[in-house]
Amino acid sequence: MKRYFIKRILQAVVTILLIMVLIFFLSRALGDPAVLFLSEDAGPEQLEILRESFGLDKPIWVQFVRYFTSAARGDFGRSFKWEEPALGLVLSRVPATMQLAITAVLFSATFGITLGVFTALKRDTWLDRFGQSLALFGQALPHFWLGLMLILLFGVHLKWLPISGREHLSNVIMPALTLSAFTLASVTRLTRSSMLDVLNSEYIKMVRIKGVPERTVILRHGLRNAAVPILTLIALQFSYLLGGSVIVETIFAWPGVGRLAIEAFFRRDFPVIQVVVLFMSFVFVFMNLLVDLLYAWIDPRIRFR
Amino acid sequence: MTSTRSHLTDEKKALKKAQQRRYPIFAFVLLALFLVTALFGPWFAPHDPNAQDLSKSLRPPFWSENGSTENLLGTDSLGRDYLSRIIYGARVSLLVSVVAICICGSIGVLLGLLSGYFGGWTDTLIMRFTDTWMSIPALVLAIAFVSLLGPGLRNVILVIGITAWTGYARIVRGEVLSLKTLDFVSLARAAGCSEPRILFSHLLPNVVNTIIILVTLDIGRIIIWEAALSFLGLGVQHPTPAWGLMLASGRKFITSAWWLVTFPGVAILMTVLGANLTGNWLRDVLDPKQKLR
Repeated sequence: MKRYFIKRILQAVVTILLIMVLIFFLSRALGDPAVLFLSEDAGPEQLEILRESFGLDKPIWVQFVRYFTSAARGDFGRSFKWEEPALGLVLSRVPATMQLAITAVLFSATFGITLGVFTALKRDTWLDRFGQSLALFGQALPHFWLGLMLILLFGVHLKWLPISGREHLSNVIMPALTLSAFTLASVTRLTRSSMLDVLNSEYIKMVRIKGVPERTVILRHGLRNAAVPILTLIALQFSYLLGGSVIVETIFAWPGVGRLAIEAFFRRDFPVIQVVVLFMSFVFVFMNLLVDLLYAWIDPRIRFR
Repeated sequence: MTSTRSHLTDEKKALKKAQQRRYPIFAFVLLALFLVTALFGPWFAPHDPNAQDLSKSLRPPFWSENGSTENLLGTDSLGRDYLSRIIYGARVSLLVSVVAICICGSIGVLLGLLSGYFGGWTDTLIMRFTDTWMSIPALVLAIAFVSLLGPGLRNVILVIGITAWTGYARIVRGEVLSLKTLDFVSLARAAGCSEPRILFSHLLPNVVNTIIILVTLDIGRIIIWEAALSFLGLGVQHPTPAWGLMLASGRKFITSAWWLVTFPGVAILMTVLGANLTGNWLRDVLDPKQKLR
C-alpha cells in the first residue's frame, strides 16, 4: 500500500511540474513576457529594465531555471495593477471560492445521488423517465443562464434571496445551486447506472435471500458498493467546478479566485492569471490524488494492479 | 426482486429496442430549426440586428403592456430588435461550433491515432501531455490563452479548438488499441503498407463511427462554451450578435428588462438539447451495445 501511495504522489508532483513548464512556454511563445508582466502602455526603457530584472534577455534555459527557483520561493511575480505579490492576492480569495465549491459539491452530491438512487429503484416508471429527462435537460442547460434565471426568480421577483456579494450565509445559496447544476446531471446519471449495475449482481441477490430488509440492501450494500465510481466522478468534476466558478462568481459578484481571474484579464495582469491557472490545476491534481488514494484504501484490489 | 431471467435477456431486449427505436422527432426539429435559422436567418429576420433606435429602447415582447408586434421579442437598450439579434446569433454559434470541432477533432484524433498505434514512448509522451492538459480547468486555460492572444471571434474559435481535444485523443486511442490487435492491421503491414497508410486508410475509417458520435455529442458543449466565453467578455465582441454576449449585456438590466436575459438562454438551451438528443440517438444507432439502460 505504501508503494502505491508513494508512486501516486510522485505522479501528481510530476504533473504539477509539467503544468508549470507548459505555462512557462505558453507565455513565452504567445506573448512578450515583458509587456505581459508590466503593462501595455509601458515605455521602451521600462520594458528594458523589466527584461533585465526578469532575465528575459538571458538564454531560455536560464530563464527556465529562474522560473522554477523563484516559484520554489513562492515568488510568482507581482501584480502590477493591485501592487501586491500575485500569489498572496490569489490566496486571499481562496476561502471564498472554497466555500462556494464545497457547498456546490454538497448540493450536487445530495440531490444527484438521491435522484439517481430513486430512478434506479423505480426503473422504467414515470419517475425514472422524469429523472432522466431532468438529467438530459440539465446537461443542455447553459449554467450561467440558470444563474441569471435564478436571480430573476428568487432575487428580483420573489425577493427571497440576495443576488450578489458575500455578506450573509444565505448569499451562498444561489451561486452554489448554479454551480452544482454543472455536475448534478452527471452525478444523477452515473448514480443510476452504477446502482443498477450493483443491484443486479449476485451478492445483492445473496443478501436478499438472507432476508435482509430492503432498505439495508439498498443503502448499506448497494450504495456503498456503487459509491466508488460516483466519488471518482465528483472529484473529477471538481475541476469543472473550479472552471465554472469563474462564471458563477462573475454573475453573483462573489469575491473568489474565479472572479479575480476575470478582473485580472480585463486589467491585462498576467502574473495573476498565471497563479490562478497554477492554483486551480494544483487543486485538481490534489483532488484526483486524494480520490485515488481513498479508492485504493477502500478497494484493496486496486493497489495490486 | 429481480429475477435471473430478466437479467440474462436485458442485452437482447436493449438491442431489439435500439433497432425498433423511433426517430427522435423533437430533437430533429430543434436541430433543424437551429440550422435553418443559422443558414437562412438573414432572409426572414424582421429587422437589421444592428439597427439602433434609441426611441424604441427596452421595449418588452409584444404580449406585454407597452410591447408591439413590430418587435416581437422586444428590443435591447439600444433599440435593436431582439428577435433579429437572436436569429443572427445562431450564425455565430454554428460557425464557432463547426470550425472549433474541426480543429479539436483533428488534433485529438491525430494524437489518439499516433498514441494508440505506436505505443511505447510515443504513447507515454502523448498521454502525459493529455493528462497535463486535462488537469487545468478548461475555462481557466481559455482565459490564459485569450489573455495572450486577445479576444474576438477568430481567437475564441482557436482557443476552444486547442482546449477541447483531450476527450477525442483518449477515446480514439482506446479504440486504436483494441483495433491494432486485429488481423487486418498485421495483414496490411505484411502487404508492405507504410505506417501513414495503415493509420489513415485502415485504422481511421474504423474509428469514424466513434468520431461521429463524439462530434455530435460535443456540438452542444462547444456552443455553450462559446456562449460562456462571450458572456465573460473573452469571445465575440460588440456589436456582433452572439447569444452569450447578449446575456452579458442584458444582465445589467435584469431588474427591469427580463426578456434580455431570457430569450438568448432559451435559444441556447433548445439548440443544445436538439444536438444532445440527436447525438444520443446516433450513438444508439451506431453502437447499441453502449446503451443497455
